[in-house]
Amino acid sequence: MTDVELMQLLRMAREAEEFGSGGVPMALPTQRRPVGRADPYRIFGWASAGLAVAAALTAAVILLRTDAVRSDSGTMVAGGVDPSQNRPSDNGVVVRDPATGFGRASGAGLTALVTADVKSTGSALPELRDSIIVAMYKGSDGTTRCVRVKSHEWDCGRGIEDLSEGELIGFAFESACDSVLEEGPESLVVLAMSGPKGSWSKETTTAEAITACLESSPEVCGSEASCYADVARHCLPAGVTVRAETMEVR
Amino acid sequence: MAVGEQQQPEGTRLRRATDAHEQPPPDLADQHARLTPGLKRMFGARVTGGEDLADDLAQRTWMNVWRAVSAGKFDPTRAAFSTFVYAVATNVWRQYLRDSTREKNRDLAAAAGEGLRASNPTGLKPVAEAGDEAAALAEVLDALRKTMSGGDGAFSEDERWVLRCVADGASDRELAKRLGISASTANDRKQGVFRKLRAFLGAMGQS
Repeated sequence: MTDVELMQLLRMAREAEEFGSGGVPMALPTQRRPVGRADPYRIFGWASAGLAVAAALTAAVILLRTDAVRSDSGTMVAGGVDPSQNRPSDNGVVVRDPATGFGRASGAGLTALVTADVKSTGSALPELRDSIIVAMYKGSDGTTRCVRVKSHEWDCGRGIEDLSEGELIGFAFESACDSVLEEGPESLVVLAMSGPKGSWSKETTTAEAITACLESSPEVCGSEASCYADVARHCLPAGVTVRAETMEVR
Repeated sequence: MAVGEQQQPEGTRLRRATDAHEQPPPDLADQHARLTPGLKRMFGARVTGGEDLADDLAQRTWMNVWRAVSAGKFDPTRAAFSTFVYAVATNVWRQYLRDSTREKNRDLAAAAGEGLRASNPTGLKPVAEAGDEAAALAEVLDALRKTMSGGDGAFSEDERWVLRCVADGASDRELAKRLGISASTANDRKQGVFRKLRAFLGAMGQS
């Protein structure tokens, strides 16, 4: 079996896992372009691609220079954990306060990321973490109408810190509560929580606990993602990173 | 097949075939409800023919699944049912790609004045062949799933991490970056894990 065949099998195994858990596999063998004679469009395409590569190379050189300046000034790695790589940075200190560390709060409908007590493991490999996504659909009275939960393994060391804006909402809609969507929920709150391996006993138990904790909190979060992340953090064990996104449905 | 039937849209033909087929056994009905949305999304992300084509491919998958299950091709001790459905879907997708290519070639041949060759309009393989293929693939995929999750203890945590990264499509350079080593060292490490994986699959009768 060649390397390529092995890689293909591994990818398919991952996709089968996603498929079984209700996710959306994304990489079955794709439809290949039929081999044909060169046509003017193709020649134009190659020429465009060439120009694009040249432009990308120029941009990369400029960005590399910018990155070098940033790293020197220390704004990319705050200490303790390098969020861009989901692995401990070299100095290995403990980051405590999410608000002053790389925790990031944002306004309504945006994303909030809060990290509690993340500690360097000093391992040669990026730390293996278990992640779980909880989507809560709320009605006009603020009560939670439906909760969806799924455990999620992020791509190859990628962490919830690396998610782009809106990506969590996308996850939530992949397994949306159809009946509640038809009713027209008021808002959607999605929490992604990532902790050291074995942090979560059972998906449903965790989801129930988080939902109960948020519901019982005296704080009224409305559509403020940072508020949900902050409240959830207090319900979770140390070392868990929380990311929240909210969306007004109507 | 009559000319009139040949001219029907593929979706209609498949729907009729599904309707004519016996209802799924009760224990499969739940699985059908659970997995069908994922199947449709999976095909929908790949086809350019719109929702109807994705629906047709999903139906074709279930037809093959039911035929294979009825013929006793699915063994729950060898693979999870969802993996089996995924394996069947993979075969259906590949068959669709082959048929599409064949149709294009046929059109080209027709344009060039060559004779037409008969094609298989439903894309269904004989049950025995398709079911065995899917069952074997599902068994391998399930074994790999267990290996990557550490369920069978055959690989160390580091080795599983490398396997997962490779499964996620990480290149040697990306592996190297994440591990803080050179690309060639990362490749050596990957090859070591691959050797072990080959032996593992060899023991399963896959080589």
